[in-house]
Amino acid sequence: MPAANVTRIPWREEVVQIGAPVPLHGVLTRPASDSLPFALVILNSGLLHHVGSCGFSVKLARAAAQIGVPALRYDTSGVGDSPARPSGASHDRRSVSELLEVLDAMQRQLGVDRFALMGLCSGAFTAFDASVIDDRVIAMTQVAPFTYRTGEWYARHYVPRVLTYDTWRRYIARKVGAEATRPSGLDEQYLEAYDAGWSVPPQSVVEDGYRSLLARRVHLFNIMTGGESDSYLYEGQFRDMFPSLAFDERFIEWYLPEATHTITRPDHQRLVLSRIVQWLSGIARPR
Amino acid sequence: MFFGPPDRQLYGVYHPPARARADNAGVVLCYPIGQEYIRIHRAFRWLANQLAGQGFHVLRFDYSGQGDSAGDFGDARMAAWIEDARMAVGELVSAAGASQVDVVGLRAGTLVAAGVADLPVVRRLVLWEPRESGAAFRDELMAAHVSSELPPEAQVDEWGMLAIQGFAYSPSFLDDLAASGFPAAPARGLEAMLLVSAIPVAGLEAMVAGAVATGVKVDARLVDSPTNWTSIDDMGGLFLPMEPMRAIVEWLDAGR
Repeated sequence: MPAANVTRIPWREEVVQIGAPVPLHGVLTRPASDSLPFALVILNSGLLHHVGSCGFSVKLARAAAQIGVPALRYDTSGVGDSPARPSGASHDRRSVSELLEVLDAMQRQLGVDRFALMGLCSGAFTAFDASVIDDRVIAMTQVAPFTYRTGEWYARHYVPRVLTYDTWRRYIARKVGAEATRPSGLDEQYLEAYDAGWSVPPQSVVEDGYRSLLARRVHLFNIMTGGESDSYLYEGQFRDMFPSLAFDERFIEWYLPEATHTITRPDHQRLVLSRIVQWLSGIARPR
Repeated sequence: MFFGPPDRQLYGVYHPPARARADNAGVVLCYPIGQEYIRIHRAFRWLANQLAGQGFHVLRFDYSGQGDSAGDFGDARMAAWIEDARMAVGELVSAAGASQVDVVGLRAGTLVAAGVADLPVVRRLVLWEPRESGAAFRDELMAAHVSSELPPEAQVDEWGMLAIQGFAYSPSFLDDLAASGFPAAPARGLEAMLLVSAIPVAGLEAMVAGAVATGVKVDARLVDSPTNWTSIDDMGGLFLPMEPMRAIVEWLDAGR
C-alpha cells in the first residue's frame, strides 16, 4: 500500500490465549497511548463468536480503546475460536468461572484490578452473575438482562390486544382446534442449538444481586430493546420490578423499543455504541 | 494470530495439521460477506478442524474491515479482499511451511478464492455455493435490502451506506461485487476445481469449459443440504451445512 494511504490506527490489537491446557481465545485492543486504570471485557452472546452481533463487539472494543480503555473480546469455551473444555459443569456456571479466570489474566497482563463488563443476552446473564461475586467489577452494561413482568407490563401488553380482531380470531381458532401445531421440520443433526442451561432465576435472587451491586456503587447501564417485549415494555420497569432497591444516579436504564434483540440495524448499532462509550467516559472521569 | 503489514493487520486462525501428509498441503478458507460471515463462522471452524485432522495446514482469516481484521466494513473493497487472500496464502507458505495450497471459498468468498488462483503455489480451488457472477451476489444483497422493511431513515445513512442484514454496505463495494466474476479460463498451474452446491448453479458453463480446455479437472457436486445455514432458529441456534462440508473434506483428502 502506498505510504500516502497509510492510516494511523489509534489502537493496537493482539490475540490472547487465556488458561491451560485448553486456552480461551480472545482479542485484546489496547489504546495507542496511555490507558485508563480499568479494562472493558466483552462477552459472547449465545453462539455468536467474539466479534459479536453484526461485529458490534469489535466496534465497541476499538471505540473504548480510543478513549483510553483497553478492551478484551473473548470466546468462552466451546464457542467461537475457543475449543471446548472438558467439564461437568453447566454452560452457565462454566461461563461465569471462565469470566473470573479472564479477569485474573487481564489483571496480570494489564496491571488493572478494576473492570467494566459488557454482555448481550446470555452475555448479560454471565456478566451479572460474575459481577455479584467479584468486586473487581466496577461497571457493567447489560443488553437484554434478566427482566420480570410487572403490573404495568400486563396493562401495556394485554389492554391493546383485547381490542384487536386478531386476538379474538386466534383465541377462537384455538378453542375449536383449527390451528394445528406446526412441526419444526428440522433435522437436529444440522442444528447446533444454543443450550446454555440458563433459566431465569427467581426475581428475589436477581433483586439481591442488584442490591449487592448498588451497595458496592457499581455503575450499571441496562439497555433494553423491543426484542424483550415478552417481559419488558417500558422505561422505568426496573424500578417497578425491584421496588425495594434504591437505584441511584449510577443506574441507567435505556429502552430502545425499535431495536431488535441483537441490535441489527446499523443506525441502532451506532446509537448504542455512542451511548456505551459516553457511559464509559463518565466512569473514567467521575463527577 | 494477526498477520500482514502493520497498517493492515489481518486476523486469522491457524489450525496445525494433526498428522503429516505426503503433499504437505495447506488450505485457506475464504469467508462469505457480512451476516453470512457471522452465521458460517462456527461451521468454518468445524471444517478447518476436519481438514487439519486430515493433515492439512489450515488458515481461516478475516478480510480487511470484516471480523477482527483492521479497518471498517464500510471501507471494504473487493480488490483489497483478494489482496488479503493472497497474503493469507503467503502466510500459510512462509509461516506454516505449506508446500502447496488449496483455496476454499463460500458464496461471495468464491470470487475471492478465484482471485488467488494465479498464484503458483495454489493447486486446487473449491467453489462452494458459487453464482454465475458477482452481480448475482450483489442482486441478492439488494433484494435483502429492499425486502427488509426498514424505515426510510434506516435504509441509507448520511454517508450513503446501505443497511443490509445488519451491516452497512458502501455503494463502492456493491459496485465492486457486481463487477466481479470468474475468469474465462483459470490460471495455469491449477490442477483441479470442485464446485459444490445445494442448488444447481447456472451460468458457469463458460468458466468450466475454459478450465477443462486448459487441463483443469473439474468436479461438480450437487449435495443435499436440507437446512439454510444463512438463517438461525428461534433460540439462536446455528445451522451447520454438514453435507457440503463433508463433500469438501472428502474431495480435498482424496486428491492428495
